[in-house]
Amino acid sequence: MSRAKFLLLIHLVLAVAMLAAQGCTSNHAQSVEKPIAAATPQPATAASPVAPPKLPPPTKAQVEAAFHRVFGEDLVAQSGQDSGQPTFIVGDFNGDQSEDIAIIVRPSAGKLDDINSEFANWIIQDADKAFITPPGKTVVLPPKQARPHIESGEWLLAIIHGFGPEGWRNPDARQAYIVKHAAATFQGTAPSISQKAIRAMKLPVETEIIKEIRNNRKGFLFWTGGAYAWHPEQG
Amino acid sequence: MTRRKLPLLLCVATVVVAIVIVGIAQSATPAPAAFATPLNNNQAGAVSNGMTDNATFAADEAVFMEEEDIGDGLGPIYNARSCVDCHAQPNVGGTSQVTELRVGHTDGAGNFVNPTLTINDGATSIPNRSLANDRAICAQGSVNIPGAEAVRALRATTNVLGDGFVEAIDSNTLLNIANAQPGQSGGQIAGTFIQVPLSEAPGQIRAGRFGWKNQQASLLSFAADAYVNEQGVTSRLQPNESTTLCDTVADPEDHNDANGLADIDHFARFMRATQVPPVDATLAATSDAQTGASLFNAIGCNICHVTSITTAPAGTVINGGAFTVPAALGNKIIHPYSDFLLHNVGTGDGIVQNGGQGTANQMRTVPLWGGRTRDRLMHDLLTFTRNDAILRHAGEATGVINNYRSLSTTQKNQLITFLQSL
Repeated sequence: MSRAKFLLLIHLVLAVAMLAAQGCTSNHAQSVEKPIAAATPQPATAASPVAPPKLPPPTKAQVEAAFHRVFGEDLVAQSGQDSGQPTFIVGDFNGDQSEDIAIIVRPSAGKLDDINSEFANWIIQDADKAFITPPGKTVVLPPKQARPHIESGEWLLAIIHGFGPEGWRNPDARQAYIVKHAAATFQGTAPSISQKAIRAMKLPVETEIIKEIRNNRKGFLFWTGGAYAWHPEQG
Repeated sequence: MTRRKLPLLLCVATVVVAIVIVGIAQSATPAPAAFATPLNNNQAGAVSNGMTDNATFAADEAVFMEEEDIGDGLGPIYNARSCVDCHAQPNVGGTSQVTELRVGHTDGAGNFVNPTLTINDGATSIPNRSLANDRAICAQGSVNIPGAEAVRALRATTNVLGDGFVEAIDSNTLLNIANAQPGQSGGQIAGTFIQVPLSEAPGQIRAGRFGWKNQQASLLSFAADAYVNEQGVTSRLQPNESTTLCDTVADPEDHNDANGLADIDHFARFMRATQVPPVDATLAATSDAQTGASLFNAIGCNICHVTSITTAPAGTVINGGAFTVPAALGNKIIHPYSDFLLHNVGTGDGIVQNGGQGTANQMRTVPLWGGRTRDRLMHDLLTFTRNDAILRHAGEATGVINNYRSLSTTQKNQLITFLQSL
């Protein structure tokens, strides 16, 4: 066979092979999804709540550091010397097994635009307007609310959610809520489940509530699962 | 050129052309994208993704839009009379403002326990059911939630447009995404991959990907589950009613039609044949949106809201052998902005379904495709701005969200502009 004929033959063989390959591709040769061992990816089997680690009482420096880390100069914390009352309180307010802190604050002068910005680093909400699933019924249409607006001089509760065992002291703990109609005189914390009203609401997580006296009325602030809400004590 | 070199050159050229042809045939192509299921009672304008012809697609859509009544098997307890009652925004198969309620309680060890619901003034019990239906075909059927069921959670309707492509994702692809996440996030993010039973393939399991808890792995399983739980219509795959009180129709209530297909088959085929939600091309082309897309990836949102996934090749047998990926769904690039895995981002609802107790406070990463069509956000629809929705993320997402917090106002605006283009 001459060299020219040999090359022509190779040419033809390759062409036929490639066309065959193309044909095979078009026919979508059947394959089966490779099974995955059932045991491999299963998540943890127990959800036993881990009690939040006992942390030492907050120091003034720790509170100030967390406050400035999250809110910068936009808010001013209430001075304990002015009020004679505790100006912050700690607890696991959102039930994620990490300690949170709530601080009574006011907007800083000239910072209202930053505080109310659509792109601020905190969620603004009104404790008097939090949505609670109505008892007993389903297929619920939650209300669509206007975004609350912070006013000049308004007393507010700024809450920093903890992250991990260090809680709110963790430098990564920056999830924050500014809650209207929630700044009040702290009366301590309590397990949410201890409140009959909370038990009746059937909230998704067990938390610590903040007991308060607001406008001369006792009540408590609690986490609904997505927001903070105020509940006055009956009577 | 000499005569001796010509055959060699031809040979080389042929090889190159053939390789190119084979390469094109094997390379993935974008999935067709359109809102092409307008809310017309005559299904006018319905256009499939190519898996079925448009006439078949329209006929399947008509079944999806069909309103059931008692004679069809509706109830005894139910939430809606038709799939489209909830899956409607902005087209048939989309989302809606409707949420449903799931309930239960935890035992002394902190494990979630499904409740026993009561109807008929407490005379009839429905055990092991976290879904509390709102409607009944008779007064005695109204569901009462016992006071001891202290876990309560809202769940939004999920979008099903484009879900045929989601079903066609190889389970191993999802597992690979899960395995990569710790390395991408300094160990903070680790999606939970679960495998769940397939109703149409008894004894078989597959990666869950549908529902807020990834409780379903195939669209036929999903359709049968929704038909019995949301509308109360039993089928060959879900033949048992939650209660027989007031029920007058023999089970299974979903019968085959003249073509040998039951309603659940039509539902599944309709969902499989839908196109994926399209982006707002005009907005997506803006420099703000494009910068926002880059920021989305740069700060790590894409670790969970995965931007691109390629479906399994056509011809791949999935769903425990019950379904073969057709050409229209195979080897397609989709942009769901989800990893279809479960995560704890601080928004968990405390409910456990198929995934074990460790998933109680985990939710499926919501696919962001089509997200511009809704303004009530998150699984409970209780967040009303995109900034607040981002800030509600905590837990595994803490690092990524702190990256977001560090962006300038302009950058945040760009990122949200990008989200509004999806």
